[in-house]
Amino acid sequence: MEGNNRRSTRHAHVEMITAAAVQRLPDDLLRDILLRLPPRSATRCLAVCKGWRSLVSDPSFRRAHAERPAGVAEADHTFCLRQDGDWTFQQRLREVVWCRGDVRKAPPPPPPLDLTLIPSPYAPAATMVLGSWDGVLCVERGAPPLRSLRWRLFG
Amino acid sequence: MASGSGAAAAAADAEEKESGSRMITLTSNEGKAFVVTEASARQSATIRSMVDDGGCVDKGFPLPNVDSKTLARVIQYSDEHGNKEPHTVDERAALAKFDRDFIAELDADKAFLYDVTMAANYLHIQGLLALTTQCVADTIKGKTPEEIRTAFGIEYDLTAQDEKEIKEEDTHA
Repeated sequence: MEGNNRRSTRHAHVEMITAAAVQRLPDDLLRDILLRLPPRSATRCLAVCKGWRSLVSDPSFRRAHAERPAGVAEADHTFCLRQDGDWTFQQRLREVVWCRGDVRKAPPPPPPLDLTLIPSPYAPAATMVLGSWDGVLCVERGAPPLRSLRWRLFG
Repeated sequence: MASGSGAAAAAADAEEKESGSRMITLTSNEGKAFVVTEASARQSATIRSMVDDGGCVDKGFPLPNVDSKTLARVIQYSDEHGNKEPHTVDERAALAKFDRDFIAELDADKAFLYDVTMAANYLHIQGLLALTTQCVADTIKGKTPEEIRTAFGIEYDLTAQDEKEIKEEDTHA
C-alpha cells in the first residue's frame, strides 16, 4: 500500500516535469509532430486546447497534412493445401508508401510485413485482408456469397 | 622547398577532407568541448553550411542552445550515422537497430526526448529530427483529447463556441 503511494507520487512528479518540458517545444516543432499523425488522431487534436486547435485548423496545416506520404499495403494471397486436406490462405502484406505531394520527398518504402490473421470463429477460412491505406486496414470476413467489409485501424 | 611542403600540406588537407578525418570541436552552452570527425559533424546541416562557407573550423563551433548532456547524445547519433556509411544489408539492419534502441531509451525519459528534439531542430539533423518527432507523435496517436491534455499537462481553455464547433465537426466526420 505504502509502496504504491510512493510510486504514484513519483509518477506524478515525472508527469509534471514532462508537462513543463512539452510547453517549451516551439510551435514549428509541435507542427512537425502533429503533421506525422494519421488523419483521425490529427482531428482529435482540434479538441485539445486553443493553441493546438488554431495550429491544426490552419489551412496551411491541412494542405501539408494532405501532402504527407500515406502508408499503403497490398495483400498477396496464396492458397495452400493443408496437411488435413483443407484449404487455407497465406497472406503477406506488401507495404508501399504512396506520396501525395512531391515524389522526390517520398521516404524509402518499408520492408514487407507478414500478417498472421486471427480467424473468425464463424468463417475461419474466409477472413482475408484486402489491403491497407493510410492507417485503415480493410478486412473481408464471411464466406461468399455473403460478403461483408470491415475497416479497421492499422498501426 | 617552402612552396613544396605547402603543396604537400594542402594535399594532405584535401585528403583529410575527402576521408572526413578532419576533426571539429563543438562546444556546449556549459563550455564543454566535444571533438568529433567532420563526417559526424556534417550530419548537422547547420554546421555543414558553416564549414562549407569556410567558417571557423579551427576555432570550433559554440552551440549556445545545447547543454552537454544533450550534445553528448546528439553526437552519439551523428557518429553512428556519419562515420560509417552502411553498404550491405546487414550494416543497414544494424543501423536501423541502433535507431530503435536509441529512440527507445529516449522514449523512457520524455523531458530529455524534448531536449534532443529541440537540439536536432536547431542543428538541422534531419534523420534525428524525424526519429524524435515521430516518437512524440506516437505518444499522441490513439489518445483522446482528454488523454492528450493529461499526458502533456495542457490546460483546457476552449470556449463554449469552440465546443459547439467541435460537436458540429464530429457529426460531419
